[in-house]
Amino acid sequence: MCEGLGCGGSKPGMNELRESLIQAVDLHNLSDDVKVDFTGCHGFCQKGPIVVIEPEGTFYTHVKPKDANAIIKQHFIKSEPVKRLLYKDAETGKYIQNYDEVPFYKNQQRIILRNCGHINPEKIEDYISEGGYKALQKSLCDYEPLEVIEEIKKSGLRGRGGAGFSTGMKWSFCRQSPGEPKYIICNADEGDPGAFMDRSILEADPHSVIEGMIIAAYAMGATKGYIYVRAEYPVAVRRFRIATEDARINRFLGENILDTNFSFDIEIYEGAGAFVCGEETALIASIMGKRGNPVPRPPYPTTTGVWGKPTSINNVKTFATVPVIINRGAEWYSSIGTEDSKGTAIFALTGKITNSGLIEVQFGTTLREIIFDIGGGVPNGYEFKGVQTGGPSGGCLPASLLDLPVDYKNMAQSGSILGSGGMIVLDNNDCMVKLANYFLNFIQEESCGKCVPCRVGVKAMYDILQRIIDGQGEMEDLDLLEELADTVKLASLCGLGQTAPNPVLTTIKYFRDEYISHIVDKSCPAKECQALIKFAIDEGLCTGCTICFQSCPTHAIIGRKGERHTIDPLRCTQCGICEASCPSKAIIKLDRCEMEKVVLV
Amino acid sequence: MPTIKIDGIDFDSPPGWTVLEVARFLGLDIPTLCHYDGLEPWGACRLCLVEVFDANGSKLVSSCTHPVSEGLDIKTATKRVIKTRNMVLELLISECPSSKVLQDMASKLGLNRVRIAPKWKDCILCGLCVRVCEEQMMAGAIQFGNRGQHLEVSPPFDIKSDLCRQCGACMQICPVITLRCDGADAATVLCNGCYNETQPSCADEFDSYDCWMGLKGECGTCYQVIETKKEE
Amino acid sequence: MESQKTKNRKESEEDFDDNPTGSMSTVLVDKEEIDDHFDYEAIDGIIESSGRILKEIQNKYNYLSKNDIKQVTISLNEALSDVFPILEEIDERILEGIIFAKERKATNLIPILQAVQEHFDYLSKMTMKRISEYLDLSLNEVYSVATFYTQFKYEKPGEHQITLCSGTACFVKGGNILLDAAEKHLNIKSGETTEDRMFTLETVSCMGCCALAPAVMIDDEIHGHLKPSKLIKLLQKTRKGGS
Ligand SMILES: Cc1cc2nc3c(=O)[nH]c(=O)nc-3n(C[C@H](O)[C@H](O)[C@H](O)COP(=O)(O)O)c2cc1C
Ligand code: SF4
Ligand code: SF4
Ligand code: SF4
Ligand code: FES
Ligand code: FES
Repeated sequence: MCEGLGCGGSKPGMNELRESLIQAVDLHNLSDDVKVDFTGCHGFCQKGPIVVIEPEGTFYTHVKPKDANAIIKQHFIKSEPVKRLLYKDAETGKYIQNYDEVPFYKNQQRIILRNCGHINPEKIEDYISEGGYKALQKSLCDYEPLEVIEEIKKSGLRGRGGAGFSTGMKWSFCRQSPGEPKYIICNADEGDPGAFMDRSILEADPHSVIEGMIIAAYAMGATKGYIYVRAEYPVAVRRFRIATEDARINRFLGENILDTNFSFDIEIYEGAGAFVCGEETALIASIMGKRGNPVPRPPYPTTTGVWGKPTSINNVKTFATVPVIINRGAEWYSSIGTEDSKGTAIFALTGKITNSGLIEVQFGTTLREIIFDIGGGVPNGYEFKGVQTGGPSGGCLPASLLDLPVDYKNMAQSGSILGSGGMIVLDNNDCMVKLANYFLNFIQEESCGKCVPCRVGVKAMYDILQRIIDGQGEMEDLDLLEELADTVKLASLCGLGQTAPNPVLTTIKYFRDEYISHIVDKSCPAKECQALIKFAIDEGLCTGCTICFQSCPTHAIIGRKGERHTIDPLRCTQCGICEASCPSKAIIKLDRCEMEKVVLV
Repeated sequence: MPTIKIDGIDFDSPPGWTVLEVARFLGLDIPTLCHYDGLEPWGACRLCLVEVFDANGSKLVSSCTHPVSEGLDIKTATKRVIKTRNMVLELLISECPSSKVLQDMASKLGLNRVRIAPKWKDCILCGLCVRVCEEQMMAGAIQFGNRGQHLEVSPPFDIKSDLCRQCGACMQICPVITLRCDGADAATVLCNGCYNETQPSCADEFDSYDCWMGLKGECGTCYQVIETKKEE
Repeated sequence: MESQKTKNRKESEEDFDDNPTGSMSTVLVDKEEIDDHFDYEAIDGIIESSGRILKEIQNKYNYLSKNDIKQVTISLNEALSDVFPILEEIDERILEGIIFAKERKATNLIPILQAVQEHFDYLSKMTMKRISEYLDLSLNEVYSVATFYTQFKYEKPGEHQITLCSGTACFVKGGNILLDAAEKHLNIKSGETTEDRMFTLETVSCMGCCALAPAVMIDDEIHGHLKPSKLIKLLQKTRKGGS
């Protein structure tokens, strides 16, 4: 029997929970029948900490250390589940006991995340008992390297790192390029804010990535692999290090792997905090100990990469898929998904959504299914407005595109990208102009600054958006913005600049009226832009709790305990702190028309 | 020898050339800024854009870095190229309106408006000084620091570097130099090249006995300076 | 061969963990040896031995874990707690221990910078100079590489590290308001340290726990679903707990 601790120890109280579970087991003398073990992320972080009792798969959510005793006692001794900790369906109000029946999991198809939440990532035996390293054996013993590449090509696997380049093609380019030794790199520099799937895989199932890397190395004749992990992911680095050491002990890595004459080893490289280092050429520069400046391609890394040698760079998810393809065959894999995108896609579903977490669905699933069936829709009764995919390089899709089947082609046509798979759901309280502005701010901070369109152009776009948000925009600004966006897109040196205008272009395309109301009416429909709104307190809702009074940094709120509070409009800086703090949601925002009405009254 | 097509002209290019070299060889004019003969191509200013056509459509690449390859089809002055290039120049001028090099280029390209508020900076981060210092002067005294909006060219901690030989090459090559140098004891020093009493003699005329570097002209900078001056 | 080595490594690391004041500190904390505070020879010996121990560990296992360095420093500081004048020198020796543990390759620059910052919390000019000498690089190159990456800091940070997430998921859930509140409460901008050196405020783009948005990390502990009022309470609590 096994237990999973979701979210890998990043939350406070995680260790206490484990301790108290172990204690509870001891207390009831069950240590022979019950084993407390931990796994990596289950993907359903919203409900964490999560405990799963296997093999029957009872699913407990929001478990606190003090609940440990109750679980052990009631579940194992009385053989009935602890009802209050079970997952409660928001619609029907029913409790669901079983892991597989929770709608969040029921509608998914887990291939890449197959082991996440089922095995202990720090134990290689767990991975092997789930059929791990079989694919490696199969490729080393039964396949020639070229056959492995052929198999991957046939499966139609496309890179999961963003651009979606065919993995088989990349491998064969790398193999054909002259130059020895060859290198492979696993790109785990997940800089995209709002995406955390690579981290989850490294924390929950590091061996599948290692296995994929070894197979790739065998196929390309590479002798050395690097994995470039973000420095912000210490747990992932630690688990991966343990996994490589275990793999070495078991002769999956090192000299003469599995007694063949093939040798390969992996070195872990910690990034130092730069989004642009996810870009291939910048990543290579960073590994070589230089500034992470991208350089123009061609020459591509597959011909001139690390140390000037042929190098193939793939994403964590790409590598994690490889063993499954080898095990179950290219035909099986290519039967999943759509015509141009095979297999499954992982999304990090976050934002204004009921069930946020990590999901995996096959290509061709519509956005509606992802957001409403799996994600459970937008909480608190607000209206769904749009979904942002692909992080700062992607775009915002409106509600009218909800029935779009998700694959590489459709996403590209709609102006967004799949990217690394961040999916941020927005409701009608989110201002699209402000969101575009946020992304440009991110880009201008993270750009390497080398080339002019990206460094100067994005800054100019940011300044224009800032003007619009501040209520000083003009209609000409919008044209200039579009012209700038085109230039930045076409002229930038690397992928960061080339995709940077996407959030702006898609929001202008799908939410143009919102821009216009900012510029012409000087009003923000979502009531988010500080310069265009005023705060006020609703008489009926205010309970006089004084929380807003205490939290206001400019002391703009007047009122005594138990009495209705008011906001002094002259002092208020529209920071929104009071609104976010108010427990009874009594603080309301007024846009321009409403303001005028209030003034008239 | 790769055969390429550039503005409709078929050309057997020597391998290893860049598109810019081919274009210059054929007398096609492509504006450049961060490119300098004798320094490694850097590809940062994006003024030398040309359009490359292939089966999947076309894209813009920087000609100073793009190597020739078999069957390459290039146009140097399509509408798209010109529009994008002018916008890039507009951005550059908004950064640094006082640069003569940029203003000259604007008049050559027919750009007569800048819609972006001027920033009046004194460096456009073209990287020429960094490269000339490192590649030709073998000093490596100045480097890029920080990144993104905070990118700057400076010696470490803004303190004069011991490595600087005060050759002045960085100032010689800079397209916006007018604003840069505030004298030897200025608050922000770039290289302190002005500790030099005289301009490096090599910059004006090649004289192997009077080479500032004591290298008898081996570094090659002076050749290039003379070359460009002659062209002008 | 290789596998045997790593296995040994793991086992002995476990020993090490179980025994924090084990064999190593008995070498170091020999109080009698430094009875006389200003017996510089003895002090030198202690420092030397710590450097040697680090080197030995490195030779044996091919890398130095954080734990190793920490243990050595702790015992070293204990042994020398009374002797202030030479603290700087100790720092320098420790620095050497950390630097020399890595192979002398220019490409090791970033890992070395990371290891040094890990220990000293920031990179001073002296440390950068030392690193550049070791790697045969110019100070210029070290500076230029270090400033490219946001991980590196050049000023001593405050006692408590407040890291706010400014990722997209946190942004749409009000992360910017949270930042505003923290900035106003501490009266500093992000990236700065309060005057009493209690707090350093920082933002990162995504800590990878977007499901907990908006998320804030206070000294390695992640707090999710925060409201401004709650964050300010947390800050007050941290301040009290620290002083
Ligand atoms: C600015 C920028 C950031 C990127 N960040 C990442 C990243 O965080 N993770 C990743 O796997 N790929 C990232 N990529 C894509 C990589 O450059 C590269 O295309 C990918 O790793 C190739 O792997 P794949 O073939 O498996 O997709 C980024 C690209 C750009 C331009
Ligand atoms: S597009 Fe941006 S990140 Fe890429 S090279 Fe240019 S400035 Fe650097
Ligand atoms: S003057 Fe100094 S900084 Fe400038 S190029 Fe010469 S050596 Fe380099
Ligand atoms: S100082 Fe001059 S040469 Fe150096 S980067 Fe700036 S503009 Fe270019
Ligand atoms: S001259 Fe080619 S990019 Fe600057
Ligand atoms: S966006 Fe804040 S943790 Fe990911």
